[in-house]
Amino acid sequence: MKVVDLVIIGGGPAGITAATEAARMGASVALIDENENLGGKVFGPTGSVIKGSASDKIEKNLRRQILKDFDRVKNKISLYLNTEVWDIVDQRLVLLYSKSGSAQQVNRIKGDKLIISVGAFEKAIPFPGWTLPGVFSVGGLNTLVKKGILPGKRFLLAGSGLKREFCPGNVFCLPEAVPCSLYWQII
Amino acid sequence: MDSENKFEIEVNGKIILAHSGQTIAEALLANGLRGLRMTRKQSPRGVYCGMGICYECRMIVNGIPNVRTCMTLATPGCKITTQDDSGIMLEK
Repeated sequence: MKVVDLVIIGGGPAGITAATEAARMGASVALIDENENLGGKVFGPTGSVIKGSASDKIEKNLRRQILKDFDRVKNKISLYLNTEVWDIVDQRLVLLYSKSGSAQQVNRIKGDKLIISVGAFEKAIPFPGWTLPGVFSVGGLNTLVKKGILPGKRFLLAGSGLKREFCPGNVFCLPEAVPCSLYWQII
Repeated sequence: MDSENKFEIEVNGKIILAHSGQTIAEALLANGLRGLRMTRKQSPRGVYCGMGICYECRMIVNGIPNVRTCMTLATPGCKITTQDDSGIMLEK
C-alpha cells in the first residue's frame, strides 16, 4: 500500500492544478485519472470546438499554462492514469483498479487528505422520448463535437447554457424557458 | 483527422472504419450507428452522456459484456456486438 499526504481523484484542470499547488508546498501527491491522458473532458485530446475561435485560444493558453506548471513539479507527483477508483474506505483508503498493464500496479493508496475533482455532469431532465438514440446530454454532444464527430445533421438544442457556436451542425430549433428579454442579458 | 490512422473494427459482423484515438462509441456514431443496446422491453438505447456515467452505451467488446463504449478506445480488429440488459448477445 502506498501512503501519501494527498490523494486527488480526477485529472482535469481542477485536479491538475490542485496537484501542482500541493506539490509546490511540499506535499506528497497521488493523482488518479481513468483516462489515458490528463486533461479530462475540458482539456481533452483534441481541444476546443471551433479552431481559431476566441474560446479556442483561451482554452489552449489555459491548458498550456496549467500543464507547464504541472510539469515543473511532476517528479513529486505519483501519477496513476488508466486507473479507476472503485471504493474509498474510511475517507482515507482509496481502492484502485488499473485498466492497463502498463499502469503502475498499485491497488491501494492511503491519503491523509482527499480531493475529489471528478468534474460535473448535467442535471438530466426526463421527457417522453429522452431515451431514444440520438438524444444527447449537452456535455456528451460537446465531447463528440470536440473529437470532430457530428452525430446528426439537424439539431434541436434545449436550454440556453449552450451557445449556438458550440454546435457546428444545423440547429433548427433552440427552445428556452427564460424569456427572450432576459436571455440576451444572461449570455 | 489523419486518414493514415484508420483501421477496421467489426460491429455485429459488419466492418466499419475507426480512427486511432476514437472511442468505440465515437467510431459508431461517425458511421451513423446510433442504436447501441436493447433494453429488456426491446427499446433501443444509444450514447447519452458520453462520459461514462449513464451506462446507456454498453456493448459486448471482444466477448466482454457491459463495456461502456464511450469510455473504451477502438482498437484494430476489435469485435463489437449489441447486447440486451443482461449482457447477452442479441440475435441479429
